Amino acid sequence: MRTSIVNCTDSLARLQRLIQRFASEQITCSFDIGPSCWSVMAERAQLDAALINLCVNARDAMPNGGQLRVRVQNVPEGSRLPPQLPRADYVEFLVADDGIGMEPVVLEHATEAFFTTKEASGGTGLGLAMVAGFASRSGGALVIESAPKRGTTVRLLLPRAPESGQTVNDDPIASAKLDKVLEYIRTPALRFALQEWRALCPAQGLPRPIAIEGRLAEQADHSMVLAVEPGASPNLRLLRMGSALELALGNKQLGALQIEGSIAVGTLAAAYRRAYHSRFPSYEYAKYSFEGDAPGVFERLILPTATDGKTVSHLVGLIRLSDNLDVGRNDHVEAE
Amino acid sequence: MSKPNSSPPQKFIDVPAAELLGSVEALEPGALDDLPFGVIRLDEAGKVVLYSRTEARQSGFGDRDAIGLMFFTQLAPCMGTPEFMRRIEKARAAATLDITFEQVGDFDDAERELRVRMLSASSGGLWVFLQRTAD
Repeated sequence: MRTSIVNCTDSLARLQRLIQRFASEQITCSFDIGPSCWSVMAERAQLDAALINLCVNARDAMPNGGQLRVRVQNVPEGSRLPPQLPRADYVEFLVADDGIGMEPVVLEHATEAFFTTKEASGGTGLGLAMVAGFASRSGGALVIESAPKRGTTVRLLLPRAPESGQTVNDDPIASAKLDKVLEYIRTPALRFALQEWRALCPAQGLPRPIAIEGRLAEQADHSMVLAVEPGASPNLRLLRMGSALELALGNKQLGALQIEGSIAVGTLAAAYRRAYHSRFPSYEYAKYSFEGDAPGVFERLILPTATDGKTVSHLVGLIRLSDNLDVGRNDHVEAE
Repeated sequence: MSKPNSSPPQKFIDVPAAELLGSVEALEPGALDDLPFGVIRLDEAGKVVLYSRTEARQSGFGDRDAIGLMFFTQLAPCMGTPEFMRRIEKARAAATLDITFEQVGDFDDAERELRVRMLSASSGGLWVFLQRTAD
């Protein structure tokens, strides 16, 4: 399932009818959706399931009727938050009932899997555990307050979705993936390059090639720049190749780059196409162990860039070869 | 009947070549299908002679016949140089080839992390071990 930007007003409006239908006649439902509720970053179906779950629990806690209150409101940065949450904007989904409530000992275990007080009515013991899991996976939290005979109030806090001014760093999925790539990279210079790319990513877009080249000027010898003509099978033109790469790879002609080769995994063609189509950095590492020699290590990081900040126009490739793979040199002495 | 010294490793990337070969080559051919990573066996001419079920399930490879060549010649332009190919051939002839490959950052593809280890098989040809991580 995919996390996406979910409009809270729409979500609750859709659920409102359903909730009213399953609440008994003795239960009065009230819905309060803040006028300018922010959107949240979450899995839409999971959010719906979580809210239904909380409302079913509230209904079941009021066998003799009562009031079920659902409220959605913005929680701006600086508001009081559960200690596990970092300072940020959140949206709070509150589901409250004035039913039987929970004893402290029950409340303490309420979000544990297979803990249920509903044996008779067939509860699975997974409802609140799943909601709590969803909250924490989504970067939010679940807070429950309850007292016997006074009812239960459950607050589901979810992080506010970034506005259109979102950068890759604000997008939790992209950000986690970048962290993953950073983990893999062996050479500090390439790690630095990826961090610079990340820092230069504008709102919902890509850094400009000139900005990346400027930041990575010290690595110019080990980098190459390719222009991309957009398309399903993009044509690439090699615009610049650093001197260290030229030395290692032989005198590569500038101009059209033959990329018709196999797109099987691990190939040059696959790497550049991947960075182009995914608009995401691509990293590869290869180690060649030769008997009796130190292993040869190859690392390649490809950074997509865009002159208009949006459509990939250039790929900046950074390549590092260990001395032992620097095999294009003509001064190599043939081993006996 | 030779038995493996230890059960086959769950992760094949950092295991010494001799240990990995010792474990995998002692398995019955059918047992290769039970390994948690994909296995491909190439003969000395680079032709695919074994393709494990795990690999068949996990891979989206349309081009598997090319696999024996790609890490030698297509990873980067430098890999096609005569000197590099000479060293690869020498290692293949001596059955000491050992190549590790990793790829990460395939943003929209489930196969976004990939690890490959290519090792000379004791009885000629090559083993290719492949592992994909969706998340």
